[in-house]
Amino acid sequence: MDETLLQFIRHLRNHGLAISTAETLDAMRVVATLGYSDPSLLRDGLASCLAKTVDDHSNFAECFERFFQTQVGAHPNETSDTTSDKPSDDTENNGEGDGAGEGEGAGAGAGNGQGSGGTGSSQRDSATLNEVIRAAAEAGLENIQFRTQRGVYRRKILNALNDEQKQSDIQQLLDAGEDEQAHLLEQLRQHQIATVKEVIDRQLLLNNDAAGKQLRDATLKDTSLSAMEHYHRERLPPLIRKLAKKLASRHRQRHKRARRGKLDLGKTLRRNIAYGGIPFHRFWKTTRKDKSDIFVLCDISGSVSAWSRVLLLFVQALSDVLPNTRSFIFCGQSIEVTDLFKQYPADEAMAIIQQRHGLGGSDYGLALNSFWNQIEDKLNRRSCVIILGDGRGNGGDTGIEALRSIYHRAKLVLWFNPESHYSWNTGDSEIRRYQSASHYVAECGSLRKLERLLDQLLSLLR
Amino acid sequence: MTDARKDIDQLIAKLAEQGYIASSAIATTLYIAQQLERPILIEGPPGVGKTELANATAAMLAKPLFRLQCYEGLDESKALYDWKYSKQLLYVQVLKEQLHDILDGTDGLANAVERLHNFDDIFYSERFLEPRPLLKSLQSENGAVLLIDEIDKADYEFESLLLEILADFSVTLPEIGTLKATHKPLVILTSNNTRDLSDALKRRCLHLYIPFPEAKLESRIVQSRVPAVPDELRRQLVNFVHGVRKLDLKKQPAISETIDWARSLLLLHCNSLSRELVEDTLNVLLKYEEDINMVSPELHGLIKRADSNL
Repeated sequence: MDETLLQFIRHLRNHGLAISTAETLDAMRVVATLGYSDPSLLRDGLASCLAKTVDDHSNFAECFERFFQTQVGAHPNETSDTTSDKPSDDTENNGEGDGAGEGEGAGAGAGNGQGSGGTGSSQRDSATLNEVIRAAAEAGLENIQFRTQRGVYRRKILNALNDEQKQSDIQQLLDAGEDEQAHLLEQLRQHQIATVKEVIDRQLLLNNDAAGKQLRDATLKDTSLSAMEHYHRERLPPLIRKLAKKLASRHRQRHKRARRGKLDLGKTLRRNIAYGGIPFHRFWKTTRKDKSDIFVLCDISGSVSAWSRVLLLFVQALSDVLPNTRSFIFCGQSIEVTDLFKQYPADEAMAIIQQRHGLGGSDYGLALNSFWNQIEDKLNRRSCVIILGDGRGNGGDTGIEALRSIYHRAKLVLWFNPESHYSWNTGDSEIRRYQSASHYVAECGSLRKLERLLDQLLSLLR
Repeated sequence: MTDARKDIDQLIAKLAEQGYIASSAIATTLYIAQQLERPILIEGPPGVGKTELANATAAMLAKPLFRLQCYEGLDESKALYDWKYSKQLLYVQVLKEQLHDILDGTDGLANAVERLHNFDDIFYSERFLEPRPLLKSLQSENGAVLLIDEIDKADYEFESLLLEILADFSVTLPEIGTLKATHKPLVILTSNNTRDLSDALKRRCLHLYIPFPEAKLESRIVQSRVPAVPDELRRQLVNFVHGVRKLDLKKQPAISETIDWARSLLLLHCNSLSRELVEDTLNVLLKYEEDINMVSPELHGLIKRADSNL
């Protein structure tokens, strides 16, 4: 097994590239044909079988650079045939051996990332580094996942390096009064500890805190948005895009299958009368599927603006599979923002919307009435209307009549309420009244709930 | 190890003989695809020579090229195989008499059916099979190059259809069984990235992204395609195109447009870029009115820069 390659692939995975086992096998064959000697060749070769999208390519190039640079001296070992190209290392290690009083098994079991070493003072550094890297491999450093594990691994590596023995050696020397010798040893020991720290930090960087990120993503999906820190909200857009991509790929396939034709018997017979009724030419029935329109109306007033943001981002990310979608937002008057999303990237568009129209309490009466006026002539039995809001109109006009007109005209009116079910109909919440004029009122407390709702919606629309 | 490098350099040289100037990344991927017998999926902006690579490769290997242009609604009867329906019907009509003879002397329905069973499924044998590009490439005598062009335009289910071919180089026809390739063809898929391809498809392919080339490489490409263009003009026009690509355009000029432009400049017998000339021929390079309007005010600076830098 080619351990270096496997490590590299783990490194890539930690940086978000999805690499399957089949691709790993391919990569091994690539390495077998190309070898490690020509970096640029190796990069191009591996890129072709490991990076499968344009984004992945740039990501890959970065990872490649970083990984093979940290493999000090850039000579990844090719499994067991390390004997021929490491003579210089052996001598260095031996030379350093008596100075450090350690004499580690020099060269023989050379671990990965052998340093080729420089001259003079850097020679000692690289020898220390070699030792540390070997010890780190022993301690299983490459499995480090969280920042908090640094201490544990430092302990393990230092143990592998026989640090305690060294400490007691120094103590003995001090007791014996050989201060100078002890001082020298102590200096070397400190240098080693510093190196261990460096190696651990570098490995952590390589692993990119992948497990930590995974954990965070999983938590984010289930957390209620209102309870989320601002810092974590920044992390949402990529997550939303990821979820949307999953949804999109699931629903795209189903869509295509529904459009198969059947034999049009009547037409086939008619057209083949000339051949005595023998059906030389066949004709197929084609089914035409009417496209449905989706109208999204989002409350962006203070209380639920975070949710509107998420829903709008979600809808934009789904534009691939969702039919014609028009987005509206409101505080007071309803305003169409579909064009903004066409002009700017989603994040930027959201910022513009928030800046231009944000803030203020929601006025449902004005919002629903103006919404109805704008879409009245576009609504038909294929339209689906999604409204996101908490239904708290501050005691003002509810606009229930407008909603009822929409309800009668459209195929589906969905109301997404970010509030928890228990607080509906408390205080100034008018959700019960809105319930009577929409097909379904759903609670979308967390990202996962919203994902499920949209999933169902997509199946329904197809 | 240096063998691989040598082989790849050779590959570049051979492609150059066919008039295709390949970068090292392209040649490496092609080399690996040949070694591993894997399909290549090529992505990149339109007009950077994705399809051309397949043509050049086929010419280089002296193998036939089967091209399948994808579009929405493409299905297996157009891509893979079809039954020669009219031939089947015709034979049935003609053989009616024969059937009488065969069934002569049988008594009872069961016997007649029994006797018919002895004749197998003659109407669904390979003789009535109409191979389409995919099947043709599998059946070719000495191997072939199969180009599946613009796969992103095809439907999702067509991608699934391709999976068996891409992974095992075999096709399963329900009526006949599994047909295996006699010689594994070199498969090249191209995509303009109008939509994401499925992971299953990507997993089975090597991925090659061809971006717009660097000025040096593009200059060599123009030289190989339009050798009559003087060096000075070539340098200028390639630099100019690179300047234009930096602007925010609806459609960036690709290599094919650079080559077209070089040809038209050659026809006009000019030796260096001048403002009037560029203004008059800009429509060769840019395909949208908005783009032309965008570039026009910048012309002076662009030409000056194209002239100065190397």
